[in-house]
Amino acid sequence: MKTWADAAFRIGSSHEVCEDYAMARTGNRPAVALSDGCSGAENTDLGARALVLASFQSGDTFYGCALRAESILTFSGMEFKKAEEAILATLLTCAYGDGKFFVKACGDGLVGCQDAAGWGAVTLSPQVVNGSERPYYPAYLLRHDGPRFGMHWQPSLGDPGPGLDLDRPFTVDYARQPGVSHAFIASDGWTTFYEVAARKPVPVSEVLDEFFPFKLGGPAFVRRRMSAFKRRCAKLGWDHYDDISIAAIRTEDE
Amino acid sequence: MPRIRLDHKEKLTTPASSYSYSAARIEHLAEVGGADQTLVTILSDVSFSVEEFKAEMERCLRGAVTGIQRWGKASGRDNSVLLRWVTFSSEVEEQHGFRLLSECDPADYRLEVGGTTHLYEAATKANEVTGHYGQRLAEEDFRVNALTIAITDGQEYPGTDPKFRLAGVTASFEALRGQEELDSHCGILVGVNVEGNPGIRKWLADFETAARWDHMVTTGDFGEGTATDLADFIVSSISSTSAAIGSGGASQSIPLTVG
Repeated sequence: MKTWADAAFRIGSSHEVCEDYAMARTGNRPAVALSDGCSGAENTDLGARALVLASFQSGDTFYGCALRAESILTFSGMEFKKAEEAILATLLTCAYGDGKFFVKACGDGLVGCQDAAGWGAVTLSPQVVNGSERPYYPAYLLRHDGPRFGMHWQPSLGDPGPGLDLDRPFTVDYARQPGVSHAFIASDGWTTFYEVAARKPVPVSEVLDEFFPFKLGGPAFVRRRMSAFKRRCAKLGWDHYDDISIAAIRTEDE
Repeated sequence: MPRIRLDHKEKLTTPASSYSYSAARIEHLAEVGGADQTLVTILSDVSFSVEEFKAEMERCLRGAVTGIQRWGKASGRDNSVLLRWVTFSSEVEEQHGFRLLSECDPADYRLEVGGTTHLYEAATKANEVTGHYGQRLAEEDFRVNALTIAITDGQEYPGTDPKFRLAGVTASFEALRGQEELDSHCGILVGVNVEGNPGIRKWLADFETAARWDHMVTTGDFGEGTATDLADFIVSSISSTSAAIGSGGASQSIPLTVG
């Protein structure tokens, strides 16, 4: 079995700083992670990066990731209060091992897979309960008086693919069924595409139909697809308000 | 135990005119990394008049390949440039197809001179081959741009095939520039040993304009210093084209300083 992991992110038209960040680790235990910073929070671009980095260092729990990310920022000289605010960001991770993709999500975004028939995905919206409609960030886990989380699934994007288990909060497991070659995670920016000329939104399913499928493998397989997709968007006259990020793991039978 | 050498290249044919060429397997390029590829073709004149400075020309080509390999390693873009080398005289011959810099051996750059100058045929074929392979790469999501450098000391000696006329070269450049799969394409015509020959220089200048090469540079007597300068020029042209990928434009023209 050959595996590849790769990630890509791109700034949205309404942003001056890209607040999405994504990273991949290749090797025997390939893993990817991405984070989407909360636009209302200061230094959230740094917080997103710290969270992604933390997930590779202390990836077992979202609590551990949030704690580690806060430490990364404070050890870098950021005041504690500011670091606490900076890590108001989502965190989605995906790893592959023992024939399974392990996906975890804290906050909103997309999770899906690709098989020979195409792509399938669900939107994830773990939200704060009884509050405003904001995503449940890992940072809330550090607060004793923090908000409670709830789950809100919208499995309406398409067939999410075989082996999907939505029972447990924060965790989506894909058993690698025959034919399933990729699992991916993506930020919610993919839902903010619009036709530039008409200022008309483009449904996310249409966007993903243009993006997928991933083609050849290799260490840059997501970046290549993102680059080609960008050219395709220019031709279609599409842009996206929010930053977009996507990270994926590809498996190949040798 | 013998080492098994994996064959990373494939034989291809352009659909339009059935020109054969070889190139790195795209699956291999995907595996070794690099989301971008710059397709570089060097066309070397090996007509009989090159005999007098053959050794210097070989030194120039070897220096250029060594220099671009060094640049590739230093910049981390050694898996993002594919070099193809073609010689032309009465025959147009692919010495090696598009291959990664690490797979090029400077020692291979030896010239066998003799024959006339079929520059039109060499340029026309090179452009069509670049367009075809560029399209294949783009279909697999690679971002691609291209550079063609033709090095010659003389003017066209027309062959018998009517396909290879000036209009054909111009059309091949236009087709390449209109090809949306390519980020950009730059064609550089290098006239060597022509400074003291106004007739040849004028012919090359007219050819540059009529065929729509992007740039033309010329040198005087092809001595050791010229070989080094031209090698540096080739390295700079390739590195700047590779760096320009994604910018939406061709690389900036770099002046050739001789001596």
